[in-house]
Amino acid sequence: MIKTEGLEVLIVEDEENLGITLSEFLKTKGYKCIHSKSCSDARKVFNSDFSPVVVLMDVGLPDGDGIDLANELREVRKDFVLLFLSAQGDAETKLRGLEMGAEDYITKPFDLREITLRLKKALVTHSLLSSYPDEIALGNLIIKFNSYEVIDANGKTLYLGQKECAILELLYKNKNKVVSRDQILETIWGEDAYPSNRTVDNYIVKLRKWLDTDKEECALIKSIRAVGYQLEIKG
Amino acid sequence: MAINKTNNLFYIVISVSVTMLLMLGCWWLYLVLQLSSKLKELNYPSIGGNLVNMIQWEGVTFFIFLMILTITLLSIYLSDHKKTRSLQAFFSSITHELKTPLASIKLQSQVLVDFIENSELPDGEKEYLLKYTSRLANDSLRLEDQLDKHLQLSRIKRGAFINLRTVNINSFLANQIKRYESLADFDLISDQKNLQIYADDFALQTIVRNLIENSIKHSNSKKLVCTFSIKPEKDSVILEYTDNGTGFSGDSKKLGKLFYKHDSPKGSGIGLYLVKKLMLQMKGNAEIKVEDSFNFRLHFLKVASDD
Repeated sequence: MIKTEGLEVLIVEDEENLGITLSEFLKTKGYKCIHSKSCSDARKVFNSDFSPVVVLMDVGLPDGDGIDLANELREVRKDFVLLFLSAQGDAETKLRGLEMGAEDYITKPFDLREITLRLKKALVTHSLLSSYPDEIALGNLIIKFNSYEVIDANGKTLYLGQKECAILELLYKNKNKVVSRDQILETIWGEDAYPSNRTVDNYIVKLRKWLDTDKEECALIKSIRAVGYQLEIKG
Repeated sequence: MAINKTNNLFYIVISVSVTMLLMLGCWWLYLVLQLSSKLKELNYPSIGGNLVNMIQWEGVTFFIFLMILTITLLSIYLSDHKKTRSLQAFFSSITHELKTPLASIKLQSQVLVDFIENSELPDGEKEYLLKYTSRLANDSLRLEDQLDKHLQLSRIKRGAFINLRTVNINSFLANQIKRYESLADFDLISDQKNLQIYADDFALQTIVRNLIENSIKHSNSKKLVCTFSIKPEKDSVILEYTDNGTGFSGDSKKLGKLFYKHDSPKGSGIGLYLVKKLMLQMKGNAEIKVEDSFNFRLHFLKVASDD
């Protein structure tokens, strides 16, 4: 069970009633919330002593684009859970949000149950990733679960999205064992989302690209036909 | 896509008509100018030069009228086209703009329900308050469904493209059903656990919600039971939907036509139209049969199993 008491949440939402209600509700659940109504306000809060573990970000803000702002905040710090809350439900904007590494993209009007479940799910993953050492070496490759980064065999740092990082963690935790696709879907997405097996495959592609930079093949992700994947680590 | 084809066809017909009218006008002008000298050579003592003048004047007048008609037709078409586009854009943006305040209303009603459920109020008071807040929450769900329908309709009319991706139909349906659990009972029948189809999330959501909403609105059953049954076939996945309602007394062939409601005072007549159009856009199709109750058979493209 994840402890939410005192966890800092930044809500960036220009619709006052929505932002305040969400903030007040989360406060009753033990979170410590700050509500920002614009990009400039959010920047100020983010650069202050308030260090949010979760950022709930609207996309259409009065003084800028929420996805651009999230990218900007990621430059400052990478170790926070990012969830987009937006009325813009078009596939292109959703994809932009998820590709920049957000944990989820929730379209308005959302269910309270949906948001609390996804928030808890994201925090469980975040706390799990934070429990690992700063650096884990796999031959010439390095995993930094804490900062959602990996370093390839050429020394280049790659940023992983929260889902990719969670999948890597699940495979790493079960290294040299087969992890089924269903297990990945249930563990990473949970029962309230409905991704397909192909969604998992797409995330695996990025992880494989990173592993492929190591010519010594100290680690590789094997596809196990009709079952799932296995992270094979030599030595 | 089908809407785009219709629009393109209409545009072609208008362009061909205008071109034909212009060509006809030019041909008449040519005849008048080129043949007037020859007409003068004809010797008709009784009418004489008046015939030539008459043909010339009538030809020019005919040409001018033809040009006015062509320009009027073209300008009416273009202004109508512009007006339709503006209206569609207006409906799309107004629907979109309404989503944020609706999100706020929905959130506040759900916060109230959560607060009352977890409060230490006496049972009678709790029940009383929950009755009203739950109604508020349900009404905000209905409003959300209506907005989504109008947003989808304006998207279809604008010829917006949909984004097909692989979707786990079993978990998608299970997720959608939760939303209506307080209003009906649901059976979800499937032999296979994780069937993958090609679908657009928002389109699929609109289809499923429209089917359920249709049952809720039109079924006279005391205890509504909706049944989803998923059957895989070679290249497709068939989703059958039925309820224990009383069926439909109107012309079932007209079901799925835009704004067709038969004699029902309820609904807007766009739900089933959207189901049919969105299924076609997702490269599938929808069959509607009315027997004792409504029976929907939706054919989705199946994702080939490569493992």
